[in-house]
Amino acid sequence: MAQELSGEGGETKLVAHGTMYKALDRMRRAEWLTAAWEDSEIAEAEGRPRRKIYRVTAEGMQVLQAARAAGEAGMGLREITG
Amino acid sequence: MTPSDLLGGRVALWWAGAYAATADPQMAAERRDELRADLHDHLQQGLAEGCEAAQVSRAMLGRTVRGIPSDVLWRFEIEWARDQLRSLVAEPTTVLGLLFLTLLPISLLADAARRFDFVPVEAREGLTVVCGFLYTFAVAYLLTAASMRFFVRQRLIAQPLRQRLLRFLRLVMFASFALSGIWRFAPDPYGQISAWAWAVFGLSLVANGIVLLVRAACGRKKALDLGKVPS
Repeated sequence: MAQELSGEGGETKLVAHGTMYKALDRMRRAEWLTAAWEDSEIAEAEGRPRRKIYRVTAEGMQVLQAARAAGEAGMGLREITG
Repeated sequence: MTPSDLLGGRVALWWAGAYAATADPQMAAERRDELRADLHDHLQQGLAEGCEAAQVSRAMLGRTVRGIPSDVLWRFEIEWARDQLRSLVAEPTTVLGLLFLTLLPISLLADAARRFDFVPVEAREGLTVVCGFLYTFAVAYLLTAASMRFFVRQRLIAQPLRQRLLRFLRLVMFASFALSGIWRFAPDPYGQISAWAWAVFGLSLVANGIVLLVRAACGRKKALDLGKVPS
């Protein structure tokens, strides 16, 4: 996710840990995302720590689409979310 | 290779442990687990893209450092929501201790930076701004703590006169110390305010010492009267 958000910047411009978790938490509280821990057995089988899986809700998808449209129109996220 | 093998990974994990140390255990554990998974994926992705371990380590370090303000804010929001900060205002000793432990080295550094020409102007100005911010925060915090005490009068009434005097003198001492720091490098008339505040700090420090000595002497006299201390 950090890689995706960093755009073309590559390794050095990955989103900061604190900033990303805080943003995710705010989106979760706004019910734009749901979060759930993956099954630890799956993680153990793959030899890695378990991940927190975020899923975009229907409301989040609407906001995302509105944000994309607003971005194309040169508007800010605040203007579309009120 | 795991993130713990890299300096950047170790710093990130240490920092997560530090800022979440006294938070709600479940919340802290979730934050650490989330970070562990993130660092693991970051490392694997970096290696898969042909990056060197040192490069990934630096990137991890950068992500940690840039996220510090958000981490601190996250923790602050949690404590605010849990109403934990009220106790810090009601009993300000912990915060004051931490503030003065932080202020002392930064003030010394700021003073030293102004004396030596080889220190870049940006560093000097930066330290001055940090000092000003911290001292202003100290004054604002003291005023908040003092006003809370003023409005909760039962606490004051329940305390003996000498205790109340000591508390008042400490408040004056800390407030004047902090106030003297805000404009310590500013030209007059602000510099004058700083000088006066510094003088008040000195006087309140002496008065505080006198009250402590009197209290100790009275305590000894009382103990002598009760026969607890051999004369």
